[in-house]
Amino acid sequence: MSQSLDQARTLLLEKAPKLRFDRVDMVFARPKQPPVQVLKSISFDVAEGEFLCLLGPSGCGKSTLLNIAAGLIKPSAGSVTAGSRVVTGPGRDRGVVFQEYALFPWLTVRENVVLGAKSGRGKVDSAKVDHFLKVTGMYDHRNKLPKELSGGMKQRAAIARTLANDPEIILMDEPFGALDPYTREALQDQLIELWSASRKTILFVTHSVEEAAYLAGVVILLKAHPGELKAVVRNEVSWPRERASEELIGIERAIRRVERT
Amino acid sequence: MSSELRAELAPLEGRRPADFSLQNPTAMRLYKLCALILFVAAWQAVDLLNEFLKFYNPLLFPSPLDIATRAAALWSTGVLQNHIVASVTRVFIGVLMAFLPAVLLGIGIARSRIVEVVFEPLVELVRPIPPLAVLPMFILWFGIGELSKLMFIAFAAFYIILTTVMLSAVNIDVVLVRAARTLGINGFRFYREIVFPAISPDLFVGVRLGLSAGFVVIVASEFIAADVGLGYMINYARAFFRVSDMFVGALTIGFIGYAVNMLLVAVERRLFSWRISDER
Repeated sequence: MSQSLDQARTLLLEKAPKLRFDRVDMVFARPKQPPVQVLKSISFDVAEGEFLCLLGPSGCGKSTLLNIAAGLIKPSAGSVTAGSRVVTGPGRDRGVVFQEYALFPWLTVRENVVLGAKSGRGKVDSAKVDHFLKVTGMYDHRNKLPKELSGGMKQRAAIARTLANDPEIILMDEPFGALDPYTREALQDQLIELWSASRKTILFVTHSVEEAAYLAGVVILLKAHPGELKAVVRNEVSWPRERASEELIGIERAIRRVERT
Repeated sequence: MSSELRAELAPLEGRRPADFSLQNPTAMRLYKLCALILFVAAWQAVDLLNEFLKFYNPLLFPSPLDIATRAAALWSTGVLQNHIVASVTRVFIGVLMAFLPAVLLGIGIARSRIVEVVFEPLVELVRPIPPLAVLPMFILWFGIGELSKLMFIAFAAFYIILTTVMLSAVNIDVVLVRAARTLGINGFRFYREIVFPAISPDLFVGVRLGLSAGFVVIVASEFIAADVGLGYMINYARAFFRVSDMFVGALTIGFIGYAVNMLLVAVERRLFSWRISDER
């Protein structure tokens, strides 16, 4: 009896996605040129606690899709639902990590994180701020200005800031795209650690097949001109994953095979 | 960053012989000072030569020594200080009066469509009017007292501060604005915590340029209706043919303008060291 109830509950939970894209269209008007369709009827769900990668070539509108989910731009048609609410603008329930780090240059690392924490109700929880500085490895650099940091450190500070704002969904727009391969892998591992500890829902945009295969539980493949959903690849390889392992290469191969078609 | 680098390199190089090349900024500063002294000396030499050859009337073109003597005389009686205080106070108060409206309107036009629609046409139409053209009107409206001069300086500084603020607020990095929005920073908080700090370096430059403009126009307003101030001093000296006094007045304005500018540049460097442009 109680077992079947539990089963029903899990089913229900699985049925209600954390983030739902429902026939999202995006058409950009251009002066003196025909309008360009960037996204065409995109529908998919992101389950709660899932790590989903949006993968596609440049021009497939994956960043546009992320910005729509963030509420920074409005879709031409269709809708995005986060939790139980339709997205109409930016909200604290959806934190964004940008490729350009987007740290406020006039604030120190700690002040940047405090700004994230302050957006919540009530007073700034100093312990919480320090906690996120520590888990991202930025505690020792907390009093530095962004211009004194390397790209990897900037992105870790930006992640700490987003986490301090305590969003339910984290949207990441090619966050490691500008980093060198070593830093990139270190940050990927750190992100996975943070994700397994918090089980936040993550939507991660990338154009690296390797990155998607290593990080994601679900990979959504988009094709360009116009951006359309091409395939969904599930990656059930269990954590801890090993880079360049047979299993992951298998996933990469599966993704590349679909991409070629 | 770069200073750290230099600190590491310094011991490697050891004690270098003094660098007198044009690449050395300290040497350059010295050379510039020498050039200036040379010009003044040449001027004095021409004056000396003129005493014998008499190719111009020295009354109309005094020597540096004459000017310095007059400056010392005016200073010792306290007259010069009175004029300086009057003019500088007017410039600062005038710029201060322009500050708030210029900042608010500049941010408003840059960040709000409604404010832009309402005010931009008027602002752009009035902008090309040279401040001097409105001075007679200001005197009719605000009288020949302090107010007309303050308004005049404020008018001149207003457009400069407004323009720098407007440009700066329009060009705030879109990613920073987006980051703020997604962090839930909205309404007044957005302006106080994001827009204002983001534009503050440019705003500071605007104020600096506004003060410069103030020193440019102050003289004109003091020509017309004043009983104290450096502009008044110059105009008064003209009536009595005291060309040295006129030079003292003009050079004093030059020195003050230069000093204020240098001071503000130094403050600017300290205040806005977070700017990325300082890195390289």
